[in-house]
Amino acid sequence: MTESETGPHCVPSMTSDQYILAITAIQNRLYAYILSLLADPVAAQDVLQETNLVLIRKADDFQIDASFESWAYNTARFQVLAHLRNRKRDRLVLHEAFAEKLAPVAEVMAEETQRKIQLLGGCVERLSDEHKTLLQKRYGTETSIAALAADRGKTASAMKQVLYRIRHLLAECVEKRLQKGAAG
Amino acid sequence: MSNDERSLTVLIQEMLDGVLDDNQRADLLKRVESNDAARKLYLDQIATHTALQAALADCLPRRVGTSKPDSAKTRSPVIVSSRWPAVAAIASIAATIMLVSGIGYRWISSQTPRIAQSVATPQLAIVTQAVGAYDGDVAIRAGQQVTPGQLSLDRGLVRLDFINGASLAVEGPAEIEVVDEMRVVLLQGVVTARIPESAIDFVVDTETAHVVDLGTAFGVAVANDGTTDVCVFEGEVSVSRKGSTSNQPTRVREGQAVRASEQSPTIDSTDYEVAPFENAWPVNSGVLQTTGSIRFVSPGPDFHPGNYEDNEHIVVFPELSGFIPDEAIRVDMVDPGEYAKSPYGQKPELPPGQRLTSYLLQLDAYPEGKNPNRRRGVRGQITFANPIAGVITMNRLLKESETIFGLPDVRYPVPRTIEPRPVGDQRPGFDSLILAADRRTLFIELQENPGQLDQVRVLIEADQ
Repeated sequence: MTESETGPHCVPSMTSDQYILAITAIQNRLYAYILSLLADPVAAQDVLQETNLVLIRKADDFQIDASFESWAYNTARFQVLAHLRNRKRDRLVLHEAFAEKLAPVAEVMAEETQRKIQLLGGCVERLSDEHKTLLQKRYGTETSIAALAADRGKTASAMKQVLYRIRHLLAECVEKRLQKGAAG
Repeated sequence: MSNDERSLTVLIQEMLDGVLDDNQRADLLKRVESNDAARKLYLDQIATHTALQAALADCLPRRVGTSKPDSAKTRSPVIVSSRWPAVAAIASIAATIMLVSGIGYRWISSQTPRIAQSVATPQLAIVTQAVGAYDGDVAIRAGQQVTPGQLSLDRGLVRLDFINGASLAVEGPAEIEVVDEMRVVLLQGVVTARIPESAIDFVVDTETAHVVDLGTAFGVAVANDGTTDVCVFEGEVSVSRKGSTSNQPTRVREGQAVRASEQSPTIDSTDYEVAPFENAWPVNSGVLQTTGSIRFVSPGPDFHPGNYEDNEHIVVFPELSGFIPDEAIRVDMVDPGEYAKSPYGQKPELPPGQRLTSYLLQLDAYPEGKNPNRRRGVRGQITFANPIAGVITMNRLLKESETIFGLPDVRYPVPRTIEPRPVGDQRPGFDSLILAADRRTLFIELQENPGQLDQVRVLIEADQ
């Protein structure tokens, strides 16, 4: 194997630090975006990782005056479509069309995710300790609904209802804060 | 809420739980596509779910189910994978962002873990790494002080660095009592220990065994019934059966294992089975995380680059630790960015006198099975606890550095220089090596080339 004479080239377009920071900052939004297009959390994690590798590999192609978010969502959309095509199953042809159609609104939703994350902090503070613990177990440690239910002597169905009510409370709280923010 | 909305909500939640089959998913997509209200509900719930996960997961990874590799020659699954694979790679930056943006809940962080007790009590150790580590609902975080008392670790991994230099990695679920700087009692769970000369005679007690370190690295696993397995990775330890006065301590040397149980009054030899320690051991060895197809080598004296075959993974071998070379070390990369070839004379040099720890990453793509000439990409990422000082992949530099950092008495196989994509070349099938901006993470993608061996040596800044 020969050692070529080509000179080194680096990741940065903004600077490597800024670029990596931008990738880091968009992770949750990208995941929400990919998840909505795939409707499969396991596949969404894989595609997120693919997307990150492509984003890093193609850092030199990013134009600094362009929107990083658009660049990242577009890259993710291509990775989602590539993922669906690679699976080569008839039903997925329909899924591909679905993903193409949903992509623009999914992008809007993903951008809202970041704001929701920030607002959720204050909303969770207002929940009871029991509900906070439940949420932490369900989302923080990803305990299954079945395990949560067994732990508390409830049926899985009842546990789903409890979680639904908590989410509903949080959604209402976030919505109110969003409106308050918009009005203010 | 209408029945339609209720059934759609259930379907969406099941999707988020990852339990939908293809038919249910097709049904969900159809409903979302054909109805504006359904689409709004779908997107709202995904946004809320993601937001909750992002905030409550505390940006720490969990262990995900990793299947055993197919190849009979491979030994165990990947060590620790991340819920947010790429975030893990740039975890320190992510953590900064979380702090700056105020994400994360005060109700979690305001609780005081049992691990940090009164400031008046002596500090014995510090948590230097915590990966998905929880005591009940309370996250254990790097930087917390460890004072005498009991530590409950429901899940995750922590590394405790004692003031005398001893380093323990504890894997949950575990119950461990830190008695003083020279003694812990492991009631349940798994620990691996790396003990320097300054902490020789460090003791790990269990219900059935008294383990005294004699300058070494070892693992102790205590099962629910109190059965204790001790595996020695380097050096030797002394093990006595608790509650028995007649037994002389048993010397256990590297590559050996013993068991103490209620069923036997003596310390009994057992198979050298390292699988229980493969999650904790990398944490003792300076590796924060691996994801994708990177795995840490099994702990033990007999596993080295010359005899370890794994066709599925890029395997990480620790080499010399904390070594100070007296000559400059020529390397391929020192700065964040993507590796590109350059002439030998233009390679950067690490100055002599810097304390370094070396790791060799190796993909041994031996021909196998029905398609011995298969070529495919194997990729993953590895995050070290300390900053990366330099990365070496050119054949000549690998051989040069092998004489300095290579394991003694190990015959290293001949490597193949990795082949990065030339600038402007769009063809598939090249290798890729990227040093992330956090200087601790490497992204690696290697193309299998059956019969060939890819190697990358990574030099890490060692603690002084």
